[in-house]
Amino acid sequence: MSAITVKDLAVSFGHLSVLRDLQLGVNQGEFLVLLGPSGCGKSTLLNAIAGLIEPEAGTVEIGGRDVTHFEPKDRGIAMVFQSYALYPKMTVRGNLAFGLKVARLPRGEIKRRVHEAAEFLHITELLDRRPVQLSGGQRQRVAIGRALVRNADVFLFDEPLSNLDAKLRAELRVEIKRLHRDLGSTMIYVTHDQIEALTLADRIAVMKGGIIQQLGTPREIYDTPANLFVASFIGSPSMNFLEGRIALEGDVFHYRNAIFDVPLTAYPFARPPSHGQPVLLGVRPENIAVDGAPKPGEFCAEANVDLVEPTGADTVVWCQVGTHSISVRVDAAQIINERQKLCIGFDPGRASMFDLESGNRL
Amino acid sequence: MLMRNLAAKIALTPMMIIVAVVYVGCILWTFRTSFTSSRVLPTYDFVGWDQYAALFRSTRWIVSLENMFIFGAAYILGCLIVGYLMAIFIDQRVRGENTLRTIYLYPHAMSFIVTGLIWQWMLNPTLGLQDFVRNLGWESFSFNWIVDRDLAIFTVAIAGIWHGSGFVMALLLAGLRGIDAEIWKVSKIDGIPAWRMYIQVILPILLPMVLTCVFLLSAQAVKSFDIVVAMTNGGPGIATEVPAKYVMDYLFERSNIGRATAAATVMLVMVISIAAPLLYLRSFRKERQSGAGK
Repeated sequence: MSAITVKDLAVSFGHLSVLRDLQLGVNQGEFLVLLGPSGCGKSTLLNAIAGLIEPEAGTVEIGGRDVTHFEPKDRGIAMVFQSYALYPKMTVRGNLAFGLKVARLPRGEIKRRVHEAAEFLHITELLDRRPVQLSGGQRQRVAIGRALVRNADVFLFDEPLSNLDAKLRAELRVEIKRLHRDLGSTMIYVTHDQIEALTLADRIAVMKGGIIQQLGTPREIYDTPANLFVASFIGSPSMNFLEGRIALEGDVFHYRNAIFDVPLTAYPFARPPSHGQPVLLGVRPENIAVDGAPKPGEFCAEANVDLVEPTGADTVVWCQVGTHSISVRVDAAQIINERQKLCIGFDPGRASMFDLESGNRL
Repeated sequence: MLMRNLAAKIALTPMMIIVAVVYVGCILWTFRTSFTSSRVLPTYDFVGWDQYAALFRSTRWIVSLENMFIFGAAYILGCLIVGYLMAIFIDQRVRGENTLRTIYLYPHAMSFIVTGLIWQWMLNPTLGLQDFVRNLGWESFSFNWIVDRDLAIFTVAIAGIWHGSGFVMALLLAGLRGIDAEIWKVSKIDGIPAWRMYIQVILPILLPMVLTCVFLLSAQAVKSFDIVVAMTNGGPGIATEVPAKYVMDYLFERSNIGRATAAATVMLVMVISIAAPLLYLRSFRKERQSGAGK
């Protein structure tokens, strides 16, 4: 049974339609990440699930109940926001307890829950401070704590780490992952940061223009992107794209352009291509091999090294192949100099092939 | 050192002289004169605390002081409550917001004299509100606070609130607009009713602005003179006398400069004794905040 089911959801602001006919199912205990560039409708979708935005059409079910017309507080959800949105003049304890006090929970119960949440997030010693006296990371911990005390089945995160610096972001990312492992609750997490998405998610929904482009595990999204948008949005540096055509030789499909002639026997076609079809070949920088002697049946192209970017763990080499600029990720131990000549090749089985016209994966 | 920003210093010099002579000089002169037996024209003898003793023996002065506090409390509290409610109302993204804001703020553009006159007509039992309601058919309706010795001062406060709450609204509305929208989302998810948010969460955030309002309104309350003159002229009897009116009356009508300056000095001391701790508190807070920010 799905913990959250979104059916035919449509949301628009005035004349601007943000979401149309959106379908989404989230499994019990799953960590789903909504990923996309700003303005893609991911936050709108989250707000609609939370009940903060009235949908124009469609239904939202949480835990098997149709909650489309429920108040946010009755949906059994907790939410964490980008700006932390703490009550500024209350202490941390007050922030955690306020919602429970209003809900008229017994005092002992409130105390127990606040204590537990504080313990869990290591903020016990901060309980009597005010938000202004806390750092960004501590504030976000408190915001998570305020969500935690609600004992909700579903947690919604709206870009919770976007206001933090890189180091804290990595720290809290781990914390959120731990939170999910220990609570086992269903979580939906909105972000535009692909690293967050790939590290946290059980499944990722990549969105653009109010439409879910692809829904799948991080591996699926990364290795077999469903279309050009997903392929170019995920990965840094981004996937290399090379224009070319499909050619049928005997009963073997080949990818061909001025430089490459690649036999595609190992490529798992989702739908059969046709002879002469214009395509884009996509290869991730780390799937390109440098200077390895081509095995029989493989191919090799000459490349001129243009720039070398060491990133520490590995090195990104930008080289020129014919008119194309191609990035290659190599081991940091491998010494490559600018203006050197290289022989580069790749495994066609790990490449992606897209129809040039529609941008869909072949 | 002296030559730095010379042009600016030269430009500011006339203003500095005016401040020194007109403000500080006049305050000092008033203070000095309050220790003389001056009548129509100032004399420069010295009679010690005589004028102050006479002042505090005068019933009219005591009533004036009481009235100032009653009026001040009702006026400030009323303006804050009505102004906050109007700000909240406008903040609900109502249609015609600009029009409403102008209407709310409009009374503030009127002088206290006009305000006082309008409300004097409105509250006059035989001409205004009471008469209007009676003509509608509610014969026993009675609203005659303005001629009631105990309640007349509150009618002045009502007029003051009508005049001042739009100003409070404008200030607090700016504050409301600055509040993070995500706090409202959180409150919806936490299931906190709007009124509790406005009292327990939003009001504390707006506290600095509320203090500013209190500050400015209390200045109005202390110097209130024209509104009383226009509405009740201190009556019925001395029921709505205020200190500023006392000073004016003794200065001109009663030709008693010594007494008037003594009263003015007492007013000044009161204002300082209220304002000084507040100002001190503020600068203290600012220091602490900038210290915490490091």
